Amino acid sequence: MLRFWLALAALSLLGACAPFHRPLAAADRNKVGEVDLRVVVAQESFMFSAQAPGVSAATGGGLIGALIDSSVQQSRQKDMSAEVQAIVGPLLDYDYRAEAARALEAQLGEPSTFPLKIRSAQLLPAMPAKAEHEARIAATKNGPSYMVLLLQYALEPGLGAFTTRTSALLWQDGRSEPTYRAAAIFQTPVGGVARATVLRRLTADDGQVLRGMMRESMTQTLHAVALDLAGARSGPVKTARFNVNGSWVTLAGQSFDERPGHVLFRDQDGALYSVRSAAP
Amino acid sequence: MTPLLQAWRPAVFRALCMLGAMPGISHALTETEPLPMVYEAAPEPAERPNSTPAPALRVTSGCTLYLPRIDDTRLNKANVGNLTLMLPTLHATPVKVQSIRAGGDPVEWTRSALQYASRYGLQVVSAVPPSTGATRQATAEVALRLAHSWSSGLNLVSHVVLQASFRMPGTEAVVRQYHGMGTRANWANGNGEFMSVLNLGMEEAVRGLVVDVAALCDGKPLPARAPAP
Repeated sequence: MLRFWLALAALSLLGACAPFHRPLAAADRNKVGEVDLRVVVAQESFMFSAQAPGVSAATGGGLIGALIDSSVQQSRQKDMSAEVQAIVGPLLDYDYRAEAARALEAQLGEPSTFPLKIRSAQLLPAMPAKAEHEARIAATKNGPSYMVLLLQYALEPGLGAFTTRTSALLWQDGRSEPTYRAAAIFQTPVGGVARATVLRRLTADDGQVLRGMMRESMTQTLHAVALDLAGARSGPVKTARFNVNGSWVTLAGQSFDERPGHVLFRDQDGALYSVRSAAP
Repeated sequence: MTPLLQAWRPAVFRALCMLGAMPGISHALTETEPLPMVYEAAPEPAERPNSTPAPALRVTSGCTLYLPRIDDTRLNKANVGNLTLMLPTLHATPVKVQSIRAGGDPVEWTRSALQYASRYGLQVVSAVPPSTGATRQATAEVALRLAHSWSSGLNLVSHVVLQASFRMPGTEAVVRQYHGMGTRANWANGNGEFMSVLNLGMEEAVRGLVVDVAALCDGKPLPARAPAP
């Protein structure tokens, strides 16, 4: 139980610290120069049992849910395996990295789509080791700037929506602290009710729908980050239906772009949302 | 409130924030040391603490599984997991990510896990069968499709997928996938803990395979692929 309270205290304090979003200052934007972009996708498949974020510990999800998981872990193992086999098994052949890499190449092939001059862009299957990462940041003192997107993707419980959650970080001038930092969340409803129907729809025609959603998530994430980097101003308040841990809630925030079929807004902490309004 | 206490409050708050953000607390993973990929069997599910009573898996005697080939067909062979720190907020994104490298030989890891199936009463032979027509035997070419572990809240989770291609006399090979999920409490983000949860996932996948091999030995057809729930 001590482990739980320590973690809860640490996470609560972290949550109370400075907001994650740090806009790129005009002075820094003028000095960015060329950028090496790395998109890190460290997961290998849909992480089925991961506790979806967004449910606070106080409401009984998140950490408490994890503790409950911990206490019954052995008895749940078999049930989880059966469910994973039925849900994730059919999706195992679809490689998020391959689709995201295609979208990355296509998006950055058009120089006007990104406000920074990208010297190189790569999709990495793993986070570089700490020493390598720090050396890369130090090298920005006399070299190109360094931008990392840490991306996690998920099908929400119940398969109602596909979500990616990305942290964007930019280092420049040899400074150890990022000069730009943002959270970008993309979500598209999947459509359908019964799991079997949803899976059939996702994987039909060699996974055309699923692959399309994967590519779109990368494109829309880059688009949202690009607008934020460019200092896109906040407009009127927009609302969107958003799937959190299998439940639909209504989120509201100030819009920062108009795009057909999508609602793009910032929440009060500056997190960027790009939410598709209907299933593809 | 006394002036002294007022002066200390911001400092204490900053210190607590820093304490919470210290990588040393949240990331004890030794990322320079790859996981050894050594299989160590855990107690059978029925013998574990916190477990609900479960019938032990036993294969009737004389059943032999031949393994002429084991491949590693994972898309990313260099890594076997990640440790991702996300805050429990609605707009959570990965704040910090560490990847876990694989050392050792994942094919040997898979082979060891399959050899441990002997504890269920199955004879496991890493070779081509001497005769394909013999009864009470099965032959499977096995591929390791996925082996990944990750942090989830206060737990570690793993997902291991084995794909077996069963050679049946007079028919085409029948392919089946076996998924194993491992979960365990995450006390220190230690490399050993990640290896342990991967072993739990592997064990679960092997159990699924053993059930099908037992059916083949008893002359029963393989069950249909699991339908989506």
